[in-house]
Amino acid sequence: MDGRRVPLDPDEVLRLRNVSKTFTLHERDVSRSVLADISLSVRAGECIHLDGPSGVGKSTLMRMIYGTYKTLTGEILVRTENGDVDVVTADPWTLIELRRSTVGYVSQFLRVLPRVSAFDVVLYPLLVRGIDRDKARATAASMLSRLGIAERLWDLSPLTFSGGEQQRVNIARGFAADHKLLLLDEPTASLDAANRNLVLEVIRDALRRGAAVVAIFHDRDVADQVVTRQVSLESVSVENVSTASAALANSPPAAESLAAASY
Amino acid sequence: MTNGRLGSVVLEARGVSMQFAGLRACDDVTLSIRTGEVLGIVGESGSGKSTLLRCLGGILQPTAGTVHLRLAEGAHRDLWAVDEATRVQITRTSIGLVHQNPRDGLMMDITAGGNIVEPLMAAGARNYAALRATAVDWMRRMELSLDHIDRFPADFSGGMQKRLQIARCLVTGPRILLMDEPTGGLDVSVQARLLDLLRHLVKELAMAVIVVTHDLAVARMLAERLLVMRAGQVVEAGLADQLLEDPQHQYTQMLVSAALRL
Amino acid sequence: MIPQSDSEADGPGFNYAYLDERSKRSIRRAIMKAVALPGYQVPFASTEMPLPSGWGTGALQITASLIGRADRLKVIDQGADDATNAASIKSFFKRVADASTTTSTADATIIQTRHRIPEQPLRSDQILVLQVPQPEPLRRLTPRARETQRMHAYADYGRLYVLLYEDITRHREVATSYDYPVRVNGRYIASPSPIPKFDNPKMNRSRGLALFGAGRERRVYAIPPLTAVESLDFEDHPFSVQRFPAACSLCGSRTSYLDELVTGDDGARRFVCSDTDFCTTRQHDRNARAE
Repeated sequence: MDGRRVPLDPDEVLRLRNVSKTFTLHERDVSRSVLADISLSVRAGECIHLDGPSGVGKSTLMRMIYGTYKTLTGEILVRTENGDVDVVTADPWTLIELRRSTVGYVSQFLRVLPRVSAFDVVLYPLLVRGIDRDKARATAASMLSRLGIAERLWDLSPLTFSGGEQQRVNIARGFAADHKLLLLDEPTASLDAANRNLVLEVIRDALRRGAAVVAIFHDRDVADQVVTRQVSLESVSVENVSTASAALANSPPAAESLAAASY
Repeated sequence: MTNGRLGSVVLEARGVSMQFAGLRACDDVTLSIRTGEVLGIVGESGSGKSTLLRCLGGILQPTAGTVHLRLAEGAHRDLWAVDEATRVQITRTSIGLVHQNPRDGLMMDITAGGNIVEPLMAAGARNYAALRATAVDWMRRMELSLDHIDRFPADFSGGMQKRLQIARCLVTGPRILLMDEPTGGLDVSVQARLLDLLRHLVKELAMAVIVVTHDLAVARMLAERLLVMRAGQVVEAGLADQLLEDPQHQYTQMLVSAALRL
Repeated sequence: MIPQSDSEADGPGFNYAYLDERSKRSIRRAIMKAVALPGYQVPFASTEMPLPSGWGTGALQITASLIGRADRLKVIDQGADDATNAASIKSFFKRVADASTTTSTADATIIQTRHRIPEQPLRSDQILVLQVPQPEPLRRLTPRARETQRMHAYADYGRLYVLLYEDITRHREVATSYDYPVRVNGRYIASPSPIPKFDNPKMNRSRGLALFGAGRERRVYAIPPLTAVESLDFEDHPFSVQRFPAACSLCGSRTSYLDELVTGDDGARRFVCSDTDFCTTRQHDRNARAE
């Protein structure tokens, strides 16, 4: 445990402190700062909406929380049953375990694997969590029903499903395991009104159970129905394209020394 | 980590180097793997990944470093410090190595069924009916038609030979499975089917799996953690999705962008 | 005795039993190693014998290194004392060792044989010397010495059992009928030499010492007295021996290995004991009882 680290409050599920993100593309000798000095606290039962113009870094931030993007400075603390985990410094095993037990990520699209049935897509995260097989099967069945996926479709691979059906399977998968922190990246983008409402109900349910949600919603109306707090990235982040890349476009030879200086 | 599926460390390599005359095929490689995990090792030809696999699998002695196995409670073995008889005994029962070329891992003059159960006979199994039943069971699990059980591997397609080799490796229930380019030389659709099968198997059996591949899509599909090798060294390591979506090292970035361009 | 000078050339020109004492000692050393490691093939410096290789030179060297004035030598080929090869080996030893020879299994102290084991169980004072063309039972799997050595060293005999498996799969039974591999003392797998599998059970816990000599391949191996010898099989497909459809037409035996003789152009056939001494002895006993 880091001596400087301040533990999470009892009802805090996620806390970011002074988190920044810079992408360094070695081949192009470019360094791009996308997020700077972000701090954020999320409590159980909250649904945080990450707001801001396209390209400001909302998805980037979500991916940093999940560990898909690497964070080099700052702290991202997540509460787990076994104590607080700092995503920034955690080793890969810890992160794998974190994702299994605590943090769920639901993106806009279901990643379809050819021969995995819809039922198995939802079942697997439950089994991996150590949940008893019979109980896991019951939960998977109930989630799929809740999201309106007909039982005759359960043994089929979602490959042939419509976009909306696939996304509902995706939601079922994301929410079945009762994660305490859920990261939702435009979860309702491909759904019609009726199905959107189903999903919102699932989200509300999770919030009632004490989960915390950090979400990006495409649609303001949808957001208004479930979000408890807006966080606008425009106001907290600084997008900064290093002077090197600008110089690169104008005079390539000089860019090298500038690029070296930028990081 | 006692929740879920991730078990304790089952194999640990420290400072493994393999020096051939004039060539350092592996340079100071350190890695470990837990039960229930799939670790991918990616790199181009000549990166040393296949050599590393052979050092881990007990068939090529590294010129430096150690390979430790923890196979049962308290039982801890330094693979290259024990005598050869013990090492053969350990590798035969605990490690399955699926070779890149099926001919290296199969007996071409023995039937498919014979290939599958030979490791059991080598370990002392003496009941024909039970052996036959095991052969049938594994043919089914690997989705090989039972018609082929008494045919020779030379009559099989590349994909079928790979599956047969995997069955032969798994029949003794090894704790560790090492695979060298499991989808090499296969058509895309055949690859997809094999990868699916592998993913199911990995989930079913409580094993630790190391997959060596030059194909990032294969690594993405099978592995949760990746190691990137280049010229014998590990240049970057981490979560599979992190390495592929936000690579930090220059070489990894180049690998990933090259894959995306195709 | 190594001749000290040319004047000794007037003598017989060879040592007792043909081999010089040094050679005999080195062969006996190899034999001792073989006895210490039942079933393990011990290399030895096979030497030129006045018999082409492939005709029993290995066994000949073993017999030569063991035979003494008190021994009685029996030599059989396919069970018969009067076969050409057996007869010439016997006369060789008569000449170079002044040996007493016999056709009686009961009387013999050393029995050199090719392709059969005598029907009569051996006693603890008897040595059986078998002629072996190919001592390596794993040769049918691979020509590589490195591989067969490795397989023996690690008792990695899976591939041999696979052959049995393949036989049973294809033919419902193991097709091998002679030179049927055996596991000696629970450890090494050995070739019993090209004896019919009928004779395999005789080796199990025999009171006599069995020595196997392969001159061309330069190997000697041994089965010490009272050693366990099991023919390879599966629990549910146990090893079994040949059965004959008739009794010996000369002595009436139903338990011995029989040769089939075609007696006429019409295809008439008779079965006769392959072990001539066994058969003759039984005939005498029967006649004696008849009187």
